[in-house]
Amino acid sequence: MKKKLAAWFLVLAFVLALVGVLVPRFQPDPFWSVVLIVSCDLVVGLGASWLLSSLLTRRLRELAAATSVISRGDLTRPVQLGGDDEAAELARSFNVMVESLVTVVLEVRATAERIQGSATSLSITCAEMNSTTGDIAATAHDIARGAELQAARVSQTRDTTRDLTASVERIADRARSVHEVAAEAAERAQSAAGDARRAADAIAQLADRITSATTAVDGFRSKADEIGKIVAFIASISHQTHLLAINATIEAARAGEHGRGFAIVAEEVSRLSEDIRGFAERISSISGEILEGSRQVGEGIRLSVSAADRVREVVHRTATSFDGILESSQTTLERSAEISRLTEHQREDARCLAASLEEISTIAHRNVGGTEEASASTVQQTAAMEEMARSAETLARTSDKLARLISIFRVG
Amino acid sequence: MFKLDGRWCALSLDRVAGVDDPGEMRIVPGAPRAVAGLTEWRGRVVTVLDLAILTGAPPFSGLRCLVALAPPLDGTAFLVPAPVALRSHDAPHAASRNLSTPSLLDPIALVSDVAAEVSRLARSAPGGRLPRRNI
Repeated sequence: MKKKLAAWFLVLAFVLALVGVLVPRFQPDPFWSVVLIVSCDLVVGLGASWLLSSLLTRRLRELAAATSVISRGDLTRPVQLGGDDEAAELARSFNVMVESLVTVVLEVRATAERIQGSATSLSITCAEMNSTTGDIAATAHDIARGAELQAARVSQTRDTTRDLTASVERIADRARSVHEVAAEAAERAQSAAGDARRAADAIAQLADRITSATTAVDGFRSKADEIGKIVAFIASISHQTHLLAINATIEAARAGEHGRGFAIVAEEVSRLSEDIRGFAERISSISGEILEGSRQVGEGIRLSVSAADRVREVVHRTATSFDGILESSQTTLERSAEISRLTEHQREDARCLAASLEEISTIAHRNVGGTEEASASTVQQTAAMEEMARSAETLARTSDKLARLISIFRVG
Repeated sequence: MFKLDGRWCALSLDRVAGVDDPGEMRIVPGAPRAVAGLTEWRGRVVTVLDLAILTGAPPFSGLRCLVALAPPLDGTAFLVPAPVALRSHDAPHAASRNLSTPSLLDPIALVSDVAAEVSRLARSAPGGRLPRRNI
């Protein structure tokens, strides 16, 4: 190459020397001298241009041929240009570029394969996620329905709890009233038990006094019996006296006129005996009435003693019952106090429960909104996943297309 | 006089030997029902006749008196309800005692009825003995 250029430079120098020789000959005519010089210059220039272009285009054609091979994707053949000129330098640079391109193609091919694999996996994953998202959406929908149902139930439970709280408060009020009534009942039972014991003692004293009166009445009856016996004896004597007077009268009648005075005395004796008999009968009647009264009094006393005994027994049982009632009242009082305390606690717990249910209701309603948002989000996510799946499919197609494009490069 | 079945009855004083309480009485088996029994009066055994049965009056209860009859009915006595009173024939005295007019009994007729009954029983009894039943 250098030799060719030297030869061409020699030719050129010769031509220039010829021109230099010829020019002075045509000096008289400057026009022609100029024409000659220009012509020579043009020839030289054209020659030099042709030469240079010839040299340059040949190297470039070789480079173009090499790039044409590369342009067909064959990166296996490097550009073979010798020399130290710019074309060789360009060829070397081109080879470096091809090597880089090979590296890039290999990298792009591997990347395309990986992208395709990833896109496929992504597509499958998107499909799976889409299915899962559908399930999640259905589940979120169920959760939303459940949350609505839960909110409704919580609202219902809240209303029920309000009623329950009101009932518990009424129960607490009733329990307090019961406690007060139980305290009053215990106090009255204690008072009644004391009264019953005092009544039992009073009845026992009354029974003792009635029993003492029974002794007096029995003595009184004994005296009345004795009076009756005396009256009967007086009546008997009166009767005997009366009979004696009658017999005396009979004897006086038989004595005739001599017995008239005796008859008068006998008649007076008879009249006196009849008076005595009348008084005796009167005393006997009174004694009988006294005896009957004593008997009735005795019977009444006996009944009274029996009744007093029964009453004492009843009062004793009543006192025992009152003791039992007092004990029961004390137990009732303690239990009613315990119930009152428990109902107070229950009232506080019910209030706390109502407040908690209010809060739970609020949270449940909030959860309804959240689950609805989550459901909407899952729908959006489903759409996004579908979009992503479509993108993955597009990416897979793109990567496949890239792989096909890259496949035109032969790298070894 | 005495009160029998609510009515005053009287015996004449000359038919009466005396009055007394009925003592211990012995029942006579087979005798007529009007025979109350036998008793002792002033040392003598007298037959006591129940005047209520004799007169057809209902039987009386309570105190009773024995009225011993004078001859010819001595040995016989009437059992009458007590008390027994005396009444003289003067009306003012009777009015003062507030006594109604009594029925005067005939002792002989009454005793005769009993005697007739005893004879009838004796005739009807086998062997002339009184039957062991009361009339």
